[in-house]
Amino acid sequence: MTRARAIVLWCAVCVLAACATTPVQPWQKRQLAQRAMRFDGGNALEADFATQVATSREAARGGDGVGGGGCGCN
Amino acid sequence: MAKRSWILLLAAALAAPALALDKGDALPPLVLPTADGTPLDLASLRGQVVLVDFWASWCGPCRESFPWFAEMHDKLAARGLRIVAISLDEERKDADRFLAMHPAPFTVLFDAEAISGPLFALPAMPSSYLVGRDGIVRARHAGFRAKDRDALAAEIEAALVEPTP
Repeated sequence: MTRARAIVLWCAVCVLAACATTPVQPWQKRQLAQRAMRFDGGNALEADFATQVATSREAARGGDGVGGGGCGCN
Repeated sequence: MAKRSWILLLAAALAAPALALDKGDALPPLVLPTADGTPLDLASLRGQVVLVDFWASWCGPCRESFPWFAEMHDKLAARGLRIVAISLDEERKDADRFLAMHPAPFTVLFDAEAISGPLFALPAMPSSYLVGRDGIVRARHAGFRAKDRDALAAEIEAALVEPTP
């Protein structure tokens, strides 16, 4: 490996490291744990209704679940 | 040169975050205020079996854990079990509201600055650490699930019957 290539590689590693975000720590999830932060806003009725509308509009009734018999192979 | 470069690269790639406190480690030094502001040093609890629990008012499973901790406290405090629940709430009033709803007959400490978070490298909320009379962590539990209760109770019992060092 030439010196130039080694430098390029090192730069690449440093740039990749810069991509890493600092993960939110478990004790910092006060805001994330709120009901409003869920996709369905924490309202089960509304979520069911939205699913019903979406699947019928998409002609995909039952298409919101996972196919197969729970073997994890589908 | 080439070989050394690769080793360095590998080391950079594998650089892991600080290792979490686990079974067999000594309880780190930690001094936190109780409800009335009196500081409590965890090191001063040496000689008792200590269950250190980290919780927050916004944490769902914490709500389920408190009644069980209260029950364990009532049952085993006399035999040397000391439950220390450390609140990681930023706002004291949130913690107080939680405590009003979920009474805690055991020790509660307040860590608004979350200094214990990185110190223990908490894997989840809640996290609990069972510490033996010698100050060494006997078990660590991430989260609180109903099915874990029996295992935790057994670990507490095992720590209680250990001879005092």
